[in-house]
This record gives sequence, structure tokens and C-alpha cells, in this order.
Amino acid sequence: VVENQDLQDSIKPQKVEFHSLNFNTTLHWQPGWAREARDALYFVQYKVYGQSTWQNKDECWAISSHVCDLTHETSAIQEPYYSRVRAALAGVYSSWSLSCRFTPWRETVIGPPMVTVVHSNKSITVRLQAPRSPYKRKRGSKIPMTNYYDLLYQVFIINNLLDEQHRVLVYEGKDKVIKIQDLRPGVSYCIVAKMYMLMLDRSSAYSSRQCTVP
Amino acid sequence: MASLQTLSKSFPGWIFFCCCCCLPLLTGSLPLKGASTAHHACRLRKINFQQPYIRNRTYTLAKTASALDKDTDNRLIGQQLFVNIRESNRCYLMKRVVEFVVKDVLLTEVKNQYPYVEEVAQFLASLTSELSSCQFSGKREHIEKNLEQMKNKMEQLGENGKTKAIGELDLLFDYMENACTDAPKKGGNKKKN
Repeated sequence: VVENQDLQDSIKPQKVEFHSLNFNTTLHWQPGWAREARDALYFVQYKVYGQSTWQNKDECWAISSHVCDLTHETSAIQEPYYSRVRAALAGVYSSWSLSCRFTPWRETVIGPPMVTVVHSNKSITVRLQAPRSPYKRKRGSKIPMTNYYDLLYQVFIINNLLDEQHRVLVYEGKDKVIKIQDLRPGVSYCIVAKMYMLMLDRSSAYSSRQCTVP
Repeated sequence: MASLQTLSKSFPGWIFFCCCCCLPLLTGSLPLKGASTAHHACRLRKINFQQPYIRNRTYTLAKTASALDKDTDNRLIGQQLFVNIRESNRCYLMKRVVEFVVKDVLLTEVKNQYPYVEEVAQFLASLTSELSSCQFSGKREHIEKNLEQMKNKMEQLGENGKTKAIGELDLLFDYMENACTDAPKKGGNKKKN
């Protein structure tokens, strides 16, 4: 039988981290190193940096999973937040494991745009849609990420005849519909796009590729 | 290919748009906002905050230090700085805060403990020198009181006080931007509902 103190330490959650994509924010952690830690339950609290009291996250109170959704709790996106987790097993509680400070506006990852292509004989029309945040307008539609940052679309073309890996930047800007002209008839082209964040010099991942059939 | 065409077509378009639409908007709103002309000196150009290089360095430095700061209750740069301070004096107040942080935190012995300290200090100092003729209007007491409270808080925290101040350089950067430039593009004003 392990001593209480040992058990407390051995079930204490590790690597408590925020993950955030387009302001969809979750807290992740790993179980303690003890084998018994598999059966532990977890308790999550959060607060804005500088507040003295922690708030319980009711939906993540005595849960067995290692993820907790804090999208709603971190919706003042310029505020710095903290979260902490502790584990319990057989009536024994670990101490709290603290996350790093997390500021959604600064740290969320921007996802790629949605891309659709329509092609005619010698041109391709590309429609771009910026990723949406989880936050809704009064009417109920989700606010796009372009409302929160200066974001540019970057559109790349891949000429399948030449080189699968060679992407050529054909457009950078804010237009949602662009037309790529003077293409060779009878050639298959693929389009991928990224979001580029000017202010922080960061890019999203590439969108999935959309190809034309000759 | 099409790339050059599209870019060259849209670029003058943007300039045109900015000149025709934004400038009249900006100048049009000035008389409404700045009731007194004394505060024109309390303004920084947005371009100061549009360099990703120094913004990222500041954020990285803050992140490094805040990871060492386990005190989540005490915060130096927050809304409490602006209690009883009218909007037109906020840039002046932030100038004073930045001057303090540069002189009494960044340019002390801590500068060898973290990366990028001197670069960030230099950048912040350039902002305050650009604000050299920025003065407050009205009564001084609230400004001095809030500044004093912040300094006292940092001193009470002892060793961790400076770590905390460096860990909040990201907040300092954002607060300075918000207080001293017009309408930054940020989510803050477009939060959910």
C-alpha cells in the first residue's frame, strides 16, 4: 500500500496545456505516472489572471477524460487566463497542476480557409471562406476569424504536369473570389490556400487541395 | 501568369480605397474625440505596433518570464490602472508605466537572465520618446496614485515582482497600443454578443 503523500504525487496531472484552434479552446493534461492513475478522476478550475478566486468548471468536475472544453470560459479573447487540474483516487486528492498563462487572441491557431474551385476552359475561379470562430452574432451566425485579425488569403496553384510539390503563390489579399486566368487547356491544376496573419507573421496550415479535371 | 495581374490590379485599389475612405473617416472623427488639442501629442502611429518582429519578441520574452511566475492572484498591468482615469489620460499613464518598467525592471540586472530584453527595452524606450511631449490634463492625483499602487505591488512581491513585470510585457504592449493608437484591429471590440 502506497503512502498517501506518494499516491498524491503519483496521480498529480502532468503537462496541463491549453490548445486552441480558431478560439475553440480546450485544456489537455496527462495522467500522473502511477499505474493506478488510469482510474483517477479530474477536477478543473479556471480564472482570469489577477483574480483571486478560482471558478469550478462544472462540466469538468470529477471526469475521467483528460480534456476539458473551455471555449466559453475564455471568450474575452484578450484576457490572460489560467487553469488548473487536480486528480482524485480512492478519496485521495493530488495537489493542483497549473497551466501556463493563456491569452486566446495571442495564442489561438488560425485554421486554413475553405476552398472551392470552378474551372472553365482556361481559367479557375476560386472561392475562399475564412474559418469561423465559435462566437455567434445576435442572428446566430458564427463570426469569422477575419473579424478579429487582419487576415490575408494566400492562394497557391500546383501544376500537375510539372511538379507535385511545387506550389506557386498566385494571390495574396482579402478577396473571397479570385479568378486565375490564362491557364493551359487540358491540364489538371490543384489549388491550396492558407490564411496569413500579418500582425503576428503567422500562417495557417494549408487547406485540402482542390483539383480540376481536364 | 495570373498572379502578377491580380496583385497589381488589387494593390492600387487598396491604396485608393484607403485614401478615399479611411482618411476622411479618421480625420472626420478627430474633432469628436479629441475635445482638447493638448492630447494630440499623446498619440502613437499604428505602424509602431505593426512590426511582427518586435511584437513576437516581446511576447516570447513575456512568455519565458511568466512561465516562472506561479503567482496567479497578483497582476500589475490590468484595468485597475485606469480606475478614475479619463480616456484622454490613459496614453499618458501608460507612457509613465512603460518608462518605469524600462528603467526599473528591464535595464537592471535581470537583462542578462532573459532573451531579447535589450531589444524590447529599446523598442519601448522609442515609444516613450515619441511621446515625450505627451502631458496629462486635469488633476494629477489619480494618475500618481494608480502608478504608485502598481509600483508598490511590484515591490511587495520582492524577487518575483520583476519576473512578474517581465512576464506582463505582452500586456504592457497591448495596453500601450490600445491607449495610444486609434481603434486597433482586435477582437476586443467584436467579442461575442
